[in-house]
Amino acid sequence: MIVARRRQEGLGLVYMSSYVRFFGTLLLLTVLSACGGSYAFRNVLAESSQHKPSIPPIGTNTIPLQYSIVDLGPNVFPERVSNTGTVVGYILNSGNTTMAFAYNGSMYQLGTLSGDVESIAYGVNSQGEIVGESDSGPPNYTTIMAVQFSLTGSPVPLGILPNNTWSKAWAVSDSGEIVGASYAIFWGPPGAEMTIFDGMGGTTDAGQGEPYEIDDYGFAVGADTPYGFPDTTTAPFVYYPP
Amino acid sequence: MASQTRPPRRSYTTHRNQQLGPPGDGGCYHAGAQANDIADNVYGDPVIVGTYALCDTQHFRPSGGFAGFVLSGGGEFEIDQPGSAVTHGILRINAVNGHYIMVGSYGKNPHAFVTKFGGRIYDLNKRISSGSGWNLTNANDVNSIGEIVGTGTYEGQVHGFLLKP
Repeated sequence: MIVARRRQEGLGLVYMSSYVRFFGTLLLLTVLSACGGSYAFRNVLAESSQHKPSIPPIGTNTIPLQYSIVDLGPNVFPERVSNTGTVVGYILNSGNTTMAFAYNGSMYQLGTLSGDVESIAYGVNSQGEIVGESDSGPPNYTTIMAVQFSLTGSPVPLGILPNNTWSKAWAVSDSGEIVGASYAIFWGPPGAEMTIFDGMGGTTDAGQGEPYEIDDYGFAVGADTPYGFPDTTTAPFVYYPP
Repeated sequence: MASQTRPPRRSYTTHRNQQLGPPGDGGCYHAGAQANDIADNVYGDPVIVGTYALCDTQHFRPSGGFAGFVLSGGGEFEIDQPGSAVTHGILRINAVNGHYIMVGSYGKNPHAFVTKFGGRIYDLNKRISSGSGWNLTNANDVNSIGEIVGTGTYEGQVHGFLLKP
């Protein structure tokens, strides 16, 4: 309430200031035009436009008073939205299985690897590259594979670290780096080994941890299990690129 | 109630797989803490957000509450405090964009929120048309132009939403 009252007071000052400027300008123009010529009129307009406050792009650095809402549909669970507005996540189907989706004004179901029944899209970048997982579904999840999705084709497997059984791709940066984790003991922490995918099946072990996001400079953040299985302690971590 | 931020309490440095915990005064390290997002286009001084479980400090076990944290400028900031009348000791930060706008959920009956680092926490339900029929419960991500995605209930069913500024 205090903020709202202050805002109203602020608006009052703006309005008052506008009136003062308007009538002041009118008086000035009247005097100047009485002195002859429209040159002064153009100058006043030019000066006025020079002092206009620059308007930041809508929504970039302020929290708007009002958002418009787009309904993505029932049982839709968005995970991420790219800087170009593509939304990815999963749809929960009636059989309690998940299907990866992407929305860019139209809704796309992204499919699974052959033989799998589930998929989830976890990450998307500004180029529309989408990553996530495809799996065999509950209750056993005998296969979970990191994949890259496309809107029109089939998912492509991204690989698993040697001596591991499962993998997930959690994020892709605008510069195209894909990060996720491989798991030997159990899917999810504990037992996650951070994995960098080259997009063609190649994998690099980047140390212990499960990264959930990566920025354009290659910094990744997520959860780590510092004491290892079976201890379930998790701690936040940051991966600093070499 | 405005979000509360604390002055830097602990410095940190980043290197390969640097652990950032243990978190906050009331944090249950063993109960779970994770970094959820890193702001884009902030080189050299990463802005990292996440969530950690709160502790019953008397018995040192999870209290069932959560708090959000922001790591920035060599310091750790807690967003809202346990016991807040607004969050009831439950607040999760899911994402941050390059303009330090953060989103997540708070409260026992979850509300999706948006906030800017150092600013108020705004219930997103109060930033959409009244009478829309939506109850926005969780905001998962925010992009560089301020679009927000998450989940809520609409006509008695869970729906995904995209909010446009």
